[in-house]
Amino acid sequence: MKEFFEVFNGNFLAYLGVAFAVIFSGIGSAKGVGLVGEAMSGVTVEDPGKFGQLLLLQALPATQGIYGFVVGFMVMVTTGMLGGTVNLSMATGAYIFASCCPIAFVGMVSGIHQGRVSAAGVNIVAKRPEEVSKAMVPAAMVETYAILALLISLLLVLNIH
Amino acid sequence: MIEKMERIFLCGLAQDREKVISRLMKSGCVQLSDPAAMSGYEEIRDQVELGSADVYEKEQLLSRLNQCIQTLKPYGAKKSLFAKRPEVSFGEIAGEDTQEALELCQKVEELQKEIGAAKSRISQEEFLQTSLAPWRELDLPLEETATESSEILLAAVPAIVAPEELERQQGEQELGAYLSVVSEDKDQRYAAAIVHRDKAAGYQELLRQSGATLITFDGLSGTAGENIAASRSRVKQEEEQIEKLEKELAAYGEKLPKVQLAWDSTQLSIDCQKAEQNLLRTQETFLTEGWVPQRRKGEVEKSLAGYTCFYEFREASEKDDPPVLLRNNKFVEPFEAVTEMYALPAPHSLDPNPFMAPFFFVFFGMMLSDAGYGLVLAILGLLGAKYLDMGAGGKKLLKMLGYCGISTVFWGALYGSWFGDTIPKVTEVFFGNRVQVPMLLDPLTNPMPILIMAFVVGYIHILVGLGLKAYLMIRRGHPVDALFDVGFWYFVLVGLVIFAGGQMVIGSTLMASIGKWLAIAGAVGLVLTQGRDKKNPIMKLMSGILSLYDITGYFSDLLSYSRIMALGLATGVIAQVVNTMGTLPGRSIIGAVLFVVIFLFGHVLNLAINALGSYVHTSRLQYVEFFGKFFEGGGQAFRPLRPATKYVYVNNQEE
Repeated sequence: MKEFFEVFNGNFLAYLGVAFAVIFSGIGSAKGVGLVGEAMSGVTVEDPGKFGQLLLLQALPATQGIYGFVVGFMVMVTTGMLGGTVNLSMATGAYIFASCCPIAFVGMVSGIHQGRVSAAGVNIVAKRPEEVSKAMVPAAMVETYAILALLISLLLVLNIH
Repeated sequence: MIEKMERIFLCGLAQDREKVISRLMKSGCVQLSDPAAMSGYEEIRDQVELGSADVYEKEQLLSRLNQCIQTLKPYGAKKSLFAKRPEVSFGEIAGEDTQEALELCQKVEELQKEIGAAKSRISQEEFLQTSLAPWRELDLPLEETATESSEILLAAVPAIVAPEELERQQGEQELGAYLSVVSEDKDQRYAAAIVHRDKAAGYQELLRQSGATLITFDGLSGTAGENIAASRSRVKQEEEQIEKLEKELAAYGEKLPKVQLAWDSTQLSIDCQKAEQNLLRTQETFLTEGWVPQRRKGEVEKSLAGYTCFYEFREASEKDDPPVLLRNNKFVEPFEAVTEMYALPAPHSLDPNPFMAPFFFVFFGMMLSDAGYGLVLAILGLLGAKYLDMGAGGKKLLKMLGYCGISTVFWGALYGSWFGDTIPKVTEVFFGNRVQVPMLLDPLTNPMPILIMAFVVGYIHILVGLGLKAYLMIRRGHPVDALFDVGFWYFVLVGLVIFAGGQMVIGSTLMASIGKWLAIAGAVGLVLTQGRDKKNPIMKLMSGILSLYDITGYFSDLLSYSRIMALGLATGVIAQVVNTMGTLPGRSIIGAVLFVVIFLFGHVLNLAINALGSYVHTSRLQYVEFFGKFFEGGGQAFRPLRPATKYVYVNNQEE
């Protein structure tokens, strides 16, 4: 039991939080960006000139992964993980873990769904390229929740003392 | 603002028809409408015929010219990035003789055909070479397929059939042939066999059974090696020929502008002919109707002077559905693109751009919020708009980005963010003396004021949107509705803020109670008026009370503006992350080089993704939170007759 708590301590929870933030939001963005990428290639074959607009659509679901990375990195900066060893109490570790959860989970789901909306938007670019912003706005709707999650995660992380 | 449109009604002589259309095209301010929709058309429809356009031949010509342009493009003069299209006057382009371009086009087509033929001959030769290659070592001439008493067979034998096996079988069947393997690859052996004439049929049968294919080269003489060499020299000749032809093509490259001008000229004449579809014609006259911006009536009058025709202008009535043209000052104009991407305003509503532009400007800056990025955007955007030849739409977008860059510099400087914390980091790591950049607000240590600021600008945004809704109602003669639907909400929303401000920020009970009663007055007003279209008094009260539930809508609208702060924070933090990673290697030459590489890569990426994010989310705040309050879309864009040229720029010079 003692050995268990030597590993499962505040540091471990904080590291787990960083890992969660990066892993799950990264999964969301990777899947989302991938979905749009697949849908893009069909249009690019027909008309390579639309590549630029399509790239904009593909970049939209990329943000969740960045948000997760930002939160993870901020935890590392504020706790001093970058500098080497840290010594966090169980309570602080748990706090950090909880702070990372919003962007981890919301980032994942919103990344995937934003990818699906953007992939559907590829059709709009294929048929009416001048309406590309109408493909982007619905995708931005999905991103709202990732932004809200980022906001809460960041505010919590910035409050670590 | 939405440009005021007037209807033009024009009647002229048939002989002037083409010239009048051309003059209108040059003026670029008249949009002809479908004559079948003209008032009174039903009464005269038996006496007139609808104009028609036969543009088939011209379209053929257009596609040939296009082909020619594509062919000559690699040989034309190299254009620099900042090259602008040549300017020509309308007269020049309309009067352009396409004959010379057409002849050139013909020559280019012939050359291309010859090149194509030579290329296909080369591929034939190459095919011959590959089929001859296995027989290169055979020193018998290919035309020698028999002697007096024997036949010579060439065969491709599957590699799995060993030559010994073939020899054993021919021994068994007493065929008495001489088999020699000339060459082999991984699938097949290529063998020549000499066999007595009488046994030839039997031997061929044996070869066939073992899966071999017999090969003959009809019409070739000499050995395979000689033939390959000859074919190679023929290929070389053809290649020289192609080179010569391509040089000829390249010589035509300098005529490219001429062909391009001809393309534009042909396109213009097609457009002119298509415009005639909007005319009603009789033997001697033509009749048409269209829209002109009121401001430009004079130009139309000037264009039509000198022709015998009758025309009159009529103001658009409420029932009319005129096309929509927006006109705004220099600052607002680039932001029109944002509204156009959503929808054009309906003709009798209002142009949201003058109100939307300042908010777009501010929101974008707050979201990107880095002075370094702002400088990059401002410089690239404004210079690009000035020096790149990219058409009206692209120019607008670049200019807008440039303006938004200026706003970004302002907010970035407020937060002390110049490419993130580059200046303090670099001075600390590389010079050992941390230089702090002055800042008013530090988003990282104290983010709350920025969140509150985001809500404040959002609150103003919502109030302005509601105010525009009221303005439209008043302009349309419903001031009472404006008071009920918007005024009371103003009471509630403003009252709540005064209440909250008095209670929590200033701590003044007087202010709090003023706010409280203002909000209550508004709420009572809403309860009493929002059910006014219901007959049943209970339903009236119910609808009134239910309408208060809309407060949740305003609340969620307001919360939506928190994205301004979140995106701003994300930009700043990512920029810091880049700098932190860049300075990790520390103070050394290699460290400095690595820093520059990471700095460039990281900040370009951050700028790209966050500028895109800021654009999209600023647009969303306009479309959903702002336009949702008052905007009436659905206007048709004003599309006047005007030269739609691709390769030249038509100026206003008189011919």
